[in-house]
Amino acid sequence: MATQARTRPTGINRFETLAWQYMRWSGVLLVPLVLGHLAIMHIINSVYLIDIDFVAARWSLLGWRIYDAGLLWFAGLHGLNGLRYVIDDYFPNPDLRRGLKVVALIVFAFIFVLGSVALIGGVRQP
Amino acid sequence: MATLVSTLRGALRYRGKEGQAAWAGHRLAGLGTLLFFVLHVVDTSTVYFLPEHYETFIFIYRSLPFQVGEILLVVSVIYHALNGFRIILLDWRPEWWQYQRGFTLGTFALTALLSAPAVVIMGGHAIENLGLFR
Repeated sequence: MATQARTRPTGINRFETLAWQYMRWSGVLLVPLVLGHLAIMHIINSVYLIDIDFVAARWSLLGWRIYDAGLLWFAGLHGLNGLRYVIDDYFPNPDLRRGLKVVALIVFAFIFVLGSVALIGGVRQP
Repeated sequence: MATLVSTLRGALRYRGKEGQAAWAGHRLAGLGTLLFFVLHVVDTSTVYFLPEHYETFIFIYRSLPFQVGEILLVVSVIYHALNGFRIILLDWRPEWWQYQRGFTLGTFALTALLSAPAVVIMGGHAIENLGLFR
């Protein structure tokens, strides 16, 4: 057998393929989304101008809530998957690795719920 | 833990030059951004859950250490985005790998170029509002 045909590996890990593709596509999408957010909120405006009324005014437009929901979910999942790669790289002990991933998943589930409820519920004036 | 230490020690010994720096920078910038992301969702969600405490977070963000952190965040995001594009580009056109050093150094240069106005503007806001250098 002098030549080797290019063969598809058997038992392709579908989840890892999807995770890899997600990092690429969400990464491209996050560039305008995150840089737009940073430019508007952190550079043109600043934390010295932002208060709860600012958030209320911004979220009175549904478009900005959808924008922020996009940030929450796309960036959150991109970061969570990135964290999973980092955990895999530095913790060879399978039990510890699994435990850390479970903790990360719980923390992020909490963050997604927190952010989504706030986006739907909106600003409650004190 | 011992493995983590030996991994980090190995990372310091490994002389991967700009390629290793690009990789390490991408990872650090990603982790740093992720840390702020978690904090930022928590602070913003107070507008619904604890509206009287939103301004507490904003007050903390206006302090000097958090201003430095905010500037680092913006630089991190710019670098992570550009380096991500570099990776996508070289995966898409593997023949460009012969210029990988140029691409990497270009990514560093472009990061500095795009970060400069952001750093100046944000630094200006911080200096003005914190009353520094008066």
